[in-house]
Amino acid sequence: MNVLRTASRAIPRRCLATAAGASQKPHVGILLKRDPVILRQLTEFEHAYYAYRDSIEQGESRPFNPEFYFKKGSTAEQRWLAAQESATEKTPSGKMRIVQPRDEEVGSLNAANRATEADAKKDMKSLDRALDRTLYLVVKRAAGPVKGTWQLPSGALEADEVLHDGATRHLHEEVGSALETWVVGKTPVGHLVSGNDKIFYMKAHILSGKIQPNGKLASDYAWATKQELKEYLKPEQYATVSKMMAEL
Amino acid sequence: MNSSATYIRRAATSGLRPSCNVCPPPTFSVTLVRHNQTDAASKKVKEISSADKRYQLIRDILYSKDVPSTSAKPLRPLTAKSVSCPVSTKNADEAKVDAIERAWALEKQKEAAAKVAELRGMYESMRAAMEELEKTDPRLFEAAKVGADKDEVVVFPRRLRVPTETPPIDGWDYEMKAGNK
Repeated sequence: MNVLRTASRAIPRRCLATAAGASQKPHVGILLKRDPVILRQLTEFEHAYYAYRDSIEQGESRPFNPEFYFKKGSTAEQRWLAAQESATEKTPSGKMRIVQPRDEEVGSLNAANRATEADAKKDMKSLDRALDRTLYLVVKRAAGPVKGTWQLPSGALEADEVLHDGATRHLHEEVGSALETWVVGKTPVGHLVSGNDKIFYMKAHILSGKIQPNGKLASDYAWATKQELKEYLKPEQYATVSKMMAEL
Repeated sequence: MNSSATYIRRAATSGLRPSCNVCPPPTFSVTLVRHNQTDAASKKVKEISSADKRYQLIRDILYSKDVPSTSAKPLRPLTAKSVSCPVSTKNADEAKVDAIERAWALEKQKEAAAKVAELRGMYESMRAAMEELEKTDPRLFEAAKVGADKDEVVVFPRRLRVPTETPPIDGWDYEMKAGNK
């Protein structure tokens, strides 16, 4: 085996493929992820705890002294007094609730919903779904012995190519060029030995754009969370791949 | 005669060594230092009275009766019982506070442990991949190594977004508008 490997440096890769080294062909795989867009929801306990701590702080806080902060007769003082007149409710500790003069301006700003239409429709192709989770790309193989199975995008390396360059090239081959991606560094984040192929996965982020699957390589695609991938990938593949993923 | 009288009074009220004549010492009494009522002196009186008011205001804020005292509470005597049972179970409020803080600490511990386990999994996966790569293809292995001897620096793309409370109003940028600007 060693003799063969040292000889391979002189012999071109094609010859190596026809020899007994067919099992050594490295493939590059891409773990393409869309990072969470929104912060996760606080758990009930976290919410209750923060409210509890806020109430303690309120109770122990010094009373606000407007005389110290506002110059008598200034416009700032007038604006502040006008805002206080509108607030009549008291906090639980009996102190006056302080109303900032610009509160209504902030409150009237438009904000998008945290749960989108894609969530409601369970549209697996949408990048607006599950905004508080990381989404990973899976594709359905269109050709070859594994036709019809769902896998992470992967393919063979071309001659003299390095892993991170191969990852970018193959990704654009498989899902089009209408997307902006960033491959993280040069080191693979995991590997999978399936039959004759060894796939080395590179982690990449999608920053913007859309997936346009190349019909010859991928017939379908989906954006799935770590838990949803269990339904797409085979169990032994999922076990390997899940180690590369973060919980959130 | 007059000046000596004022000097003595100032020393008595402040209890400090006499400071300069221009700025009065921060006394805890409301009495004004009286001078002869000349024009220059009357200006001085106004300055002193406004300064006194500021001190009064600061003092009222600092020592307001609305705020509970934040002085240190005396420690419980160190006995075998106090060591084995640090929180009194008879005092319901104290027990409640202790229960809340313990539960919070426990949650944070679990979160930290989960995070460490996750990172360990990712590291082991990466290490196994590199070991396999070394056996498979030395050229790729050398290219995949990141070391201090390499000149290149890995930089993050500027458009890598930080998660926010709510998503962007226009949703996901499918048309790569930001990239094509």
